[in-house]
Amino acid sequence: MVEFALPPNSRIMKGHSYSAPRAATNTKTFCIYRWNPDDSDNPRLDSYEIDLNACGPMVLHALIKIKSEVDSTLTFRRSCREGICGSCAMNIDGTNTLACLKPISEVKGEIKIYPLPHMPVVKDLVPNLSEIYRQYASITPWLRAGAPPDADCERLQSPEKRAALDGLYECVLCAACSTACPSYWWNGDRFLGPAILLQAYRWLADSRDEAREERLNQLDDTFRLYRCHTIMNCTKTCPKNLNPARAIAEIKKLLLERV
Amino acid sequence: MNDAGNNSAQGGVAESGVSHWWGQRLTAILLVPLVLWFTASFVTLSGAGLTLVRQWIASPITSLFLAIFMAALFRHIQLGLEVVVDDYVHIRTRNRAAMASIRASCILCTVVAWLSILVIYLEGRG
Amino acid sequence: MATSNRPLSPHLQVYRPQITSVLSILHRITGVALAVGAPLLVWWLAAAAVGPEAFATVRTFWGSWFGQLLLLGWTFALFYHLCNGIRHLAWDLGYGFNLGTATFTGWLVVAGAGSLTLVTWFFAYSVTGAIP
Repeated sequence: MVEFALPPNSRIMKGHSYSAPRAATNTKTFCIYRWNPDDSDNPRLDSYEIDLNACGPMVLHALIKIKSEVDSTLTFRRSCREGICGSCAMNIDGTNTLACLKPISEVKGEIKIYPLPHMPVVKDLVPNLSEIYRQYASITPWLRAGAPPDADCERLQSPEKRAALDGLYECVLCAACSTACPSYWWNGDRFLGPAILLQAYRWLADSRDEAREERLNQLDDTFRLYRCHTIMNCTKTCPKNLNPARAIAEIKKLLLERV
Repeated sequence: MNDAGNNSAQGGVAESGVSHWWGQRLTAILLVPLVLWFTASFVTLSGAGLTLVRQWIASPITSLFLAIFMAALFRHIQLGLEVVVDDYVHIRTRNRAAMASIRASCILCTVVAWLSILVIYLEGRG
Repeated sequence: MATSNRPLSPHLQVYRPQITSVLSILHRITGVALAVGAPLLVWWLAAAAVGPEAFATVRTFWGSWFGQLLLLGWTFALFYHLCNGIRHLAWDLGYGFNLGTATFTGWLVVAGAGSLTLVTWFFAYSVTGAIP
């Protein structure tokens, strides 16, 4: 039976509290998941009171402020701070999103921040995404075509056919959707999950790709594709407003055409 | 591709996904009108005595629809429960045991339902 | 660095329920409930085939408050699973994936299942006395 509860080593303990400077008048509390691989303690939830008048508007600003001013051991991934690198995906206020795109003002009360759900934690807010990258490689995320294009000529695509990739190519592979999916929680070792299936459809939908049959053969599997039960957490949570649930439905339609 | 080997190491039906999925949809489509028809009839028959109920079942149209309804219903139940088991039961032996008992129960229910309909139909003729 | 003792990040414990995900698990719960109830339908058929005593036993059971409560629950489960099943079929055809649409159809399904249940039981009690 699937484990719906957290294993003993993953249960979250009460953590430390850090108050804002006395003079602060506009404060907000951030409760942040902490786990250090170098000691044997369970994860804990530390709370940091932050002076919002001395902080940028996004959750990522607050995390960076905490790391530089309060606790330099706080660990998280971030790079572009504008929603294009996909590094700072985490669970904020109960749903997955990018910390750099999440305004602090959108959350009432204290803000709870956890790593992406149901993932092995490397440290604090950093999950191990190796499995997702391995699954990504398994769908051969590149153009597969037999003959090289004519010399001095690219592989051409009409504007209409190019438009079929809109809503797919924008994915930044932040894994917010896959780690929001209960089916991926219970069967992540075999189910490809919404992020990778959206990518799989991105190559099925590309008019220049010639490996459609092989791609579909690989996806026609009770676990790789059909663990998707249209729960819609993926679409609801995507920080880029893409629709993985629809992409998966399109794959199912392509498979049905072959029956 | 890489995780093909996992199928043999763990529980779960490693079969073409689309056939299972399509079977569930096909029975679902079939069940939409049948469920509405049966529920309406069942409620209308409320309070009716055994004679009236048997009379209703014994008509050729009803017995045919009922037989199709029962088959589609238990096939849909089997396919649906198999998905649930594959989602949550990963230990291979338990997965197989659950699948086998689901299949057996659904077949048993269909057969008993068919026999009952047949008995009532034949007695209604005779 | 040790990797074997890595904790699992919280999931069900912290993920905020969405209208879409709640209705999704309700589809599964009602489906399983209906699967448990379906053999009782076979019992009703078999009793009708066997004879008056068997049929009377079935009716006594369904007529009891417990039987009526079960039937009421199953009526809602049936209509919910039916309505939401149609929503699923629309998704399978590629329709209704916009978030606004999915939320709207979700509430529509809840309202539809609730009113169909009420209408069915109102009809049953006012016209024929009770189910069955």
